[in-house]
Amino acid sequence: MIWLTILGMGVVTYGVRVLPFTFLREEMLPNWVRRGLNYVPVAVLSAIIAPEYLPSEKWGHFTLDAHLLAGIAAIVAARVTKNTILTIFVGVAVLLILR
Amino acid sequence: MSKWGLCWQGYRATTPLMVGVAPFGFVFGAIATGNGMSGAEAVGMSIIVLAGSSQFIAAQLLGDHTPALIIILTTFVVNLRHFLYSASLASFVRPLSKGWRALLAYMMVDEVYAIVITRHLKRDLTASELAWFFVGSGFCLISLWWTSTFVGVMIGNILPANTVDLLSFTLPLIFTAIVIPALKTRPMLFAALSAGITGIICAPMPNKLGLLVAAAVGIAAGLWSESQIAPTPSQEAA
Repeated sequence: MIWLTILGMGVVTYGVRVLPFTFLREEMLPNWVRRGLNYVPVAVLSAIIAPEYLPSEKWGHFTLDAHLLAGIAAIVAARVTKNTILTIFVGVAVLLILR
Repeated sequence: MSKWGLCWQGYRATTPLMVGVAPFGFVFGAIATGNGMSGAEAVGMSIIVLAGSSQFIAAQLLGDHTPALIIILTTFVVNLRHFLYSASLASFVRPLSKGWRALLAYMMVDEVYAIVITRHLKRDLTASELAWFFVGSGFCLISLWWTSTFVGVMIGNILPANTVDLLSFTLPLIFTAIVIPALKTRPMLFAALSAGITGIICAPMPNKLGLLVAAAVGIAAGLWSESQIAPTPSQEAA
Protein backbone atom coordinates (compact mmCIF):
# COMPACT_ATOMS: atom_id res chain seq x y z
CA MET A 1 0.00 0.00 0.00
CA ILE A 2 2.87 2.35 0.74
CA TRP A 3 4.37 1.58 -2.67
CA LEU A 4 1.03 2.42 -4.32
CA THR A 5 0.94 5.72 -2.44
CA ILE A 6 4.49 6.51 -3.55
CA LEU A 7 3.60 5.65 -7.14
CA GLY A 8 0.53 7.91 -7.00
CA MET A 9 2.61 10.75 -5.56
CA GLY A 10 5.14 10.23 -8.34
CA VAL A 11 2.47 10.34 -11.04
CA VAL A 12 0.90 13.62 -9.86
CA THR A 13 4.28 15.26 -9.26
CA TYR A 14 5.68 14.25 -12.64
CA GLY A 15 2.41 15.15 -14.33
CA VAL A 16 2.53 18.66 -12.94
CA ARG A 17 6.11 19.04 -14.16
CA VAL A 18 5.73 17.50 -17.61
CA LEU A 19 2.35 18.84 -18.78
CA PRO A 20 3.57 22.36 -19.62
CA PHE A 21 6.46 20.79 -21.56
CA THR A 22 4.31 18.54 -23.74
CA PHE A 23 0.85 19.99 -24.33
CA LEU A 24 1.29 23.66 -23.64
CA ARG A 25 2.06 26.03 -26.47
CA GLU A 26 2.96 29.59 -25.68
CA GLU A 27 0.36 30.83 -28.18
CA MET A 28 -2.30 29.03 -26.16
CA LEU A 29 -1.64 31.32 -23.23
CA PRO A 30 -3.24 34.74 -22.93
CA ASN A 31 -0.87 37.70 -22.93
CA TRP A 32 -1.17 38.39 -19.22
CA VAL A 33 -0.27 34.81 -18.37
CA ARG A 34 2.84 34.97 -20.52
CA ARG A 35 3.94 38.20 -18.84
CA GLY A 36 3.02 36.75 -15.46
CA LEU A 37 5.38 33.82 -15.97
CA ASN A 38 8.30 36.28 -15.82
CA TYR A 39 7.47 36.82 -12.16
CA VAL A 40 7.28 33.12 -11.24
CA PRO A 41 10.89 32.64 -10.07
CA VAL A 42 11.04 35.79 -7.97
CA ALA A 43 7.54 35.32 -6.53
CA VAL A 44 7.91 31.63 -5.65
CA LEU A 45 11.41 31.98 -4.20
CA SER A 46 10.41 35.04 -2.16
CA ALA A 47 7.40 33.13 -0.86
CA ILE A 48 9.72 30.30 0.22
CA ILE A 49 12.39 32.58 1.72
CA ALA A 50 10.38 35.09 3.75
CA PRO A 51 8.71 32.63 6.17
CA GLU A 52 12.15 31.13 6.90
CA TYR A 53 13.32 34.51 8.17
CA LEU A 54 10.10 35.43 9.96
CA PRO A 55 8.30 32.16 10.78
CA SER A 56 4.75 32.01 12.06
CA GLU A 57 3.10 28.86 13.34
CA LYS A 58 -0.23 30.45 14.22
CA TRP A 59 -2.18 33.22 12.48
CA GLY A 60 -0.78 36.60 13.50
CA HIS A 61 1.91 35.12 15.76
CA PHE A 62 5.40 35.70 14.41
CA THR A 63 8.67 34.31 15.73
CA LEU A 64 11.10 37.21 15.94
CA ASP A 65 14.56 35.77 16.45
CA ALA A 66 18.07 35.52 15.07
CA HIS A 67 16.75 34.15 11.76
CA LEU A 68 15.26 37.54 10.90
CA LEU A 69 18.48 39.46 11.53
CA ALA A 70 20.46 36.77 9.70
CA GLY A 71 18.03 37.09 6.79
CA ILE A 72 18.28 40.87 6.67
CA ALA A 73 22.08 40.62 6.80
CA ALA A 74 21.98 38.10 3.95
CA ILE A 75 19.74 40.38 1.88
CA VAL A 76 22.20 43.26 2.36
CA ALA A 77 25.13 40.97 1.55
CA ALA A 78 23.42 39.69 -1.61
CA ARG A 79 22.62 43.27 -2.68
CA VAL A 80 26.18 44.51 -2.11
CA THR A 81 28.29 41.49 -3.16
CA LYS A 82 25.99 39.60 -5.60
CA ASN A 83 27.95 36.54 -4.42
CA THR A 84 26.26 33.32 -3.26
CA ILE A 85 29.06 32.04 -1.02
CA LEU A 86 29.49 35.40 0.74
CA THR A 87 25.72 35.66 1.23
CA ILE A 88 25.61 32.21 2.87
CA PHE A 89 28.65 33.06 4.98
CA VAL A 90 27.14 36.33 6.28
CA GLY A 91 23.76 34.73 7.01
CA VAL A 92 25.19 31.74 8.85
CA ALA A 93 27.71 33.91 10.74
CA VAL A 94 25.00 36.27 12.02
CA LEU A 95 22.81 33.31 13.04
CA LEU A 96 25.70 31.64 14.89
CA ILE A 97 26.72 34.84 16.70
CA LEU A 98 23.19 35.69 17.80
CA ARG A 99 21.81 32.39 18.92
CA MET B 1 31.27 25.37 -25.41
CA SER B 2 30.96 21.57 -25.60
CA LYS B 3 27.92 19.79 -24.21
CA TRP B 4 30.01 18.21 -21.45
CA GLY B 5 31.46 21.62 -20.63
CA LEU B 6 27.94 22.98 -20.21
CA CYS B 7 26.94 19.93 -18.20
CA TRP B 8 29.90 20.55 -15.89
CA GLN B 9 28.95 24.24 -15.60
CA GLY B 10 25.46 23.22 -14.52
CA TYR B 11 26.91 20.77 -12.02
CA ARG B 12 29.30 23.35 -10.58
CA ALA B 13 26.64 26.07 -10.39
CA THR B 14 24.58 23.69 -8.24
CA THR B 15 27.32 22.57 -5.82
CA PRO B 16 26.80 25.48 -3.36
CA LEU B 17 23.30 24.12 -2.78
CA MET B 18 24.55 20.69 -1.79
CA VAL B 19 25.31 21.72 1.78
CA GLY B 20 21.69 22.82 2.17
CA VAL B 21 20.09 19.83 0.43
CA ALA B 22 22.08 16.93 1.89
CA PRO B 23 20.81 17.37 5.47
CA PHE B 24 17.23 17.44 4.16
CA GLY B 25 17.70 14.11 2.37
CA PHE B 26 19.44 12.73 5.40
CA VAL B 27 16.71 13.83 7.78
CA PHE B 28 14.02 12.62 5.38
CA GLY B 29 15.59 9.14 5.35
CA ALA B 30 15.70 9.12 9.13
CA ILE B 31 12.14 10.46 9.58
CA ALA B 32 10.65 8.13 6.95
CA THR B 33 12.00 5.00 8.60
CA GLY B 34 10.83 6.36 11.95
CA ASN B 35 7.32 6.72 10.48
CA GLY B 36 6.83 3.12 9.43
CA MET B 37 8.41 3.20 5.97
CA SER B 38 11.04 0.66 5.02
CA GLY B 39 14.45 1.82 3.83
CA ALA B 40 13.60 0.74 0.28
CA GLU B 41 10.34 2.71 0.39
CA ALA B 42 12.11 5.83 1.64
CA VAL B 43 14.78 5.69 -1.07
CA GLY B 44 12.10 4.68 -3.60
CA MET B 45 10.10 7.79 -2.72
CA SER B 46 13.19 9.96 -3.24
CA ILE B 47 13.63 8.41 -6.68
CA ILE B 48 9.99 8.25 -7.82
CA VAL B 49 8.59 11.44 -6.29
CA LEU B 50 11.72 13.58 -6.04
CA ALA B 51 10.16 16.56 -4.25
CA GLY B 52 11.53 17.38 -0.80
CA SER B 53 8.78 19.18 1.07
CA SER B 54 6.01 16.86 -0.19
CA GLN B 55 8.08 13.85 0.87
CA PHE B 56 8.38 15.19 4.41
CA ILE B 57 4.64 15.78 4.53
CA ALA B 58 3.94 12.31 3.12
CA ALA B 59 6.22 10.67 5.67
CA GLN B 60 4.35 12.43 8.44
CA LEU B 61 0.93 11.56 6.96
CA LEU B 62 1.92 7.91 6.49
CA GLY B 63 2.91 7.82 10.14
CA ASP B 64 -0.58 9.14 10.99
CA HIS B 65 -2.20 6.36 8.87
CA THR B 66 -3.67 8.88 6.44
CA PRO B 67 -5.55 7.38 3.45
CA ALA B 68 -3.44 7.10 0.30
CA LEU B 69 -5.79 9.32 -1.70
CA ILE B 70 -5.40 12.20 0.78
CA ILE B 71 -1.62 11.87 0.67
CA ILE B 72 -1.60 11.89 -3.13
CA LEU B 73 -3.93 14.91 -3.28
CA THR B 74 -1.77 16.76 -0.75
CA THR B 75 1.31 15.98 -2.82
CA PHE B 76 -0.44 17.37 -5.87
CA VAL B 77 -1.27 20.66 -4.14
CA VAL B 78 2.17 21.04 -2.57
CA ASN B 79 3.89 20.44 -5.91
CA LEU B 80 1.55 22.57 -8.04
CA ARG B 81 4.22 25.27 -8.07
CA HIS B 82 6.26 23.04 -10.37
CA PHE B 83 3.58 23.62 -12.99
CA LEU B 84 4.57 27.28 -12.95
CA TYR B 85 8.25 26.38 -13.23
CA SER B 86 7.69 24.20 -16.29
CA ALA B 87 5.29 26.70 -17.86
CA SER B 88 7.89 29.47 -17.54
CA LEU B 89 10.39 27.33 -19.49
CA ALA B 90 7.89 25.67 -21.86
CA SER B 91 8.46 27.86 -24.90
CA PHE B 92 12.21 27.53 -24.45
CA VAL B 93 12.34 23.71 -24.32
CA ARG B 94 9.91 23.31 -27.22
CA PRO B 95 12.66 22.74 -29.84
CA LEU B 96 13.93 19.76 -27.82
CA SER B 97 12.90 16.15 -28.48
CA LYS B 98 10.20 14.42 -26.44
CA GLY B 99 12.82 12.35 -24.63
CA TRP B 100 14.76 15.43 -23.57
CA ARG B 101 11.64 17.17 -22.35
CA ALA B 102 10.59 14.06 -20.41
CA LEU B 103 14.01 13.95 -18.71
CA LEU B 104 14.14 17.67 -17.89
CA ALA B 105 10.60 17.55 -16.47
CA TYR B 106 11.71 14.79 -14.10
CA MET B 107 14.62 16.93 -12.92
CA MET B 108 12.52 20.08 -12.33
CA VAL B 109 12.94 20.49 -8.56
CA ASP B 110 13.09 23.86 -6.77
CA GLU B 111 16.86 24.13 -6.56
CA VAL B 112 17.52 23.02 -10.13
CA TYR B 113 14.85 25.39 -11.42
CA ALA B 114 16.44 28.26 -9.50
CA ILE B 115 19.86 27.54 -11.02
CA VAL B 116 18.56 26.91 -14.55
CA ILE B 117 16.25 29.95 -14.71
CA THR B 118 19.08 32.18 -13.47
CA ARG B 119 21.25 30.95 -16.35
CA HIS B 120 18.34 31.09 -18.79
CA LEU B 121 17.71 34.75 -17.97
CA LYS B 122 21.22 35.59 -19.21
CA ARG B 123 19.84 34.58 -22.64
CA ASP B 124 23.22 33.35 -23.83
CA LEU B 125 22.39 29.67 -24.43
CA THR B 126 20.34 27.87 -27.09
CA ALA B 127 17.68 25.36 -26.08
CA SER B 128 19.98 22.35 -26.47
CA GLU B 129 22.84 24.11 -24.69
CA LEU B 130 20.56 24.98 -21.78
CA ALA B 131 19.36 21.36 -21.75
CA TRP B 132 22.91 20.14 -21.07
CA PHE B 133 23.38 22.76 -18.38
CA PHE B 134 20.02 21.62 -16.94
CA VAL B 135 21.11 17.95 -16.90
CA GLY B 136 24.36 18.82 -15.11
CA SER B 137 22.49 20.76 -12.47
CA GLY B 138 19.82 18.07 -12.15
CA PHE B 139 22.35 15.26 -11.87
CA CYS B 140 24.22 17.11 -9.10
CA LEU B 141 21.11 17.62 -7.03
CA ILE B 142 19.28 14.36 -7.71
CA SER B 143 22.25 12.05 -7.09
CA LEU B 144 22.80 13.90 -3.81
CA TRP B 145 19.11 13.61 -2.87
CA TRP B 146 19.14 9.85 -3.44
CA THR B 147 22.40 9.20 -1.63
CA SER B 148 21.59 11.46 1.32
CA THR B 149 18.23 9.71 1.72
CA PHE B 150 20.07 6.39 1.68
CA VAL B 151 22.58 7.58 4.28
CA GLY B 152 19.72 8.89 6.43
CA VAL B 153 18.00 5.51 6.27
CA MET B 154 21.22 3.70 7.15
CA ILE B 155 22.60 5.86 9.92
CA GLY B 156 19.42 7.43 11.23
CA ASN B 157 19.25 10.39 13.51
CA ILE B 158 22.78 10.99 14.78
CA LEU B 159 23.39 14.59 13.69
CA PRO B 160 22.52 16.99 16.53
CA ALA B 161 19.29 18.85 15.76
CA ASN B 162 20.88 22.31 15.84
CA THR B 163 23.46 21.29 13.21
CA VAL B 164 20.67 20.13 10.92
CA ASP B 165 18.83 23.43 11.50
CA LEU B 166 21.93 25.44 10.66
CA LEU B 167 22.64 23.49 7.47
CA SER B 168 19.07 23.68 6.26
CA PHE B 169 19.11 27.45 6.87
CA THR B 170 21.60 27.76 4.00
CA LEU B 171 18.80 27.00 1.52
CA PRO B 172 16.87 30.27 2.03
CA LEU B 173 20.23 32.08 2.06
CA ILE B 174 21.06 30.63 -1.36
CA PHE B 175 17.64 31.57 -2.70
CA THR B 176 18.21 35.09 -1.33
CA ALA B 177 21.47 35.31 -3.29
CA ILE B 178 19.50 34.34 -6.42
CA VAL B 179 16.48 36.61 -5.91
CA ILE B 180 18.07 39.88 -4.75
CA PRO B 181 20.20 40.52 -7.86
CA ALA B 182 17.11 39.75 -10.02
CA LEU B 183 15.17 42.67 -8.53
CA LYS B 184 16.26 45.18 -11.14
CA THR B 185 12.86 46.65 -12.02
CA ARG B 186 10.11 48.08 -9.87
CA PRO B 187 7.57 45.37 -10.81
CA MET B 188 10.08 42.64 -9.86
CA LEU B 189 10.75 44.29 -6.51
CA PHE B 190 7.04 44.70 -5.96
CA ALA B 191 6.40 41.04 -6.85
CA ALA B 192 9.10 39.87 -4.41
CA LEU B 193 7.88 42.07 -1.54
CA SER B 194 4.23 41.10 -2.03
CA ALA B 195 5.03 37.40 -2.26
CA GLY B 196 7.30 37.56 0.78
CA ILE B 197 4.86 39.44 3.00
CA THR B 198 1.95 37.21 1.93
CA GLY B 199 4.13 34.16 2.50
CA ILE B 200 4.83 35.25 6.07
CA ILE B 201 1.19 36.03 6.81
CA CYS B 202 -0.14 32.83 5.20
CA ALA B 203 2.55 30.49 6.55
CA PRO B 204 0.15 28.85 9.04
CA MET B 205 -2.10 27.61 6.22
CA PRO B 206 -2.11 23.79 6.03
CA ASN B 207 -0.12 21.74 3.49
CA LYS B 208 2.04 24.61 2.25
CA LEU B 209 -1.02 26.26 0.67
CA GLY B 210 0.35 29.59 1.89
CA LEU B 211 3.21 29.18 -0.55
CA LEU B 212 0.84 28.94 -3.51
CA VAL B 213 -1.25 31.89 -2.31
CA ALA B 214 1.87 34.00 -1.79
CA ALA B 215 3.29 33.13 -5.22
CA ALA B 216 -0.03 34.05 -6.86
CA VAL B 217 -0.17 37.37 -4.99
CA GLY B 218 3.44 38.12 -5.98
CA ILE B 219 2.79 37.42 -9.65
CA ALA B 220 -0.39 39.51 -9.60
CA ALA B 221 1.48 42.36 -7.87
CA GLY B 222 4.23 42.26 -10.48
CA LEU B 223 1.69 42.40 -13.32
CA TRP B 224 -0.22 45.21 -11.65
CA SER B 225 2.94 47.24 -11.08
CA GLU B 226 3.96 46.66 -14.69
CA SER B 227 0.63 47.98 -15.93
CA GLN B 228 1.07 51.11 -13.79
CA ILE B 229 4.42 51.91 -15.38
CA ALA B 230 3.89 51.22 -19.06
CA PRO B 231 0.28 50.71 -20.06
CA THR B 232 0.08 49.50 -23.66
CA PRO B 233 -3.11 48.80 -25.63
CA SER B 234 -2.63 45.03 -25.40
CA GLN B 235 -2.11 45.18 -21.68
CA GLU B 236 -5.18 47.34 -21.22
CA ALA B 237 -7.16 44.81 -23.21
CA ALA B 238 -5.85 42.05 -20.98
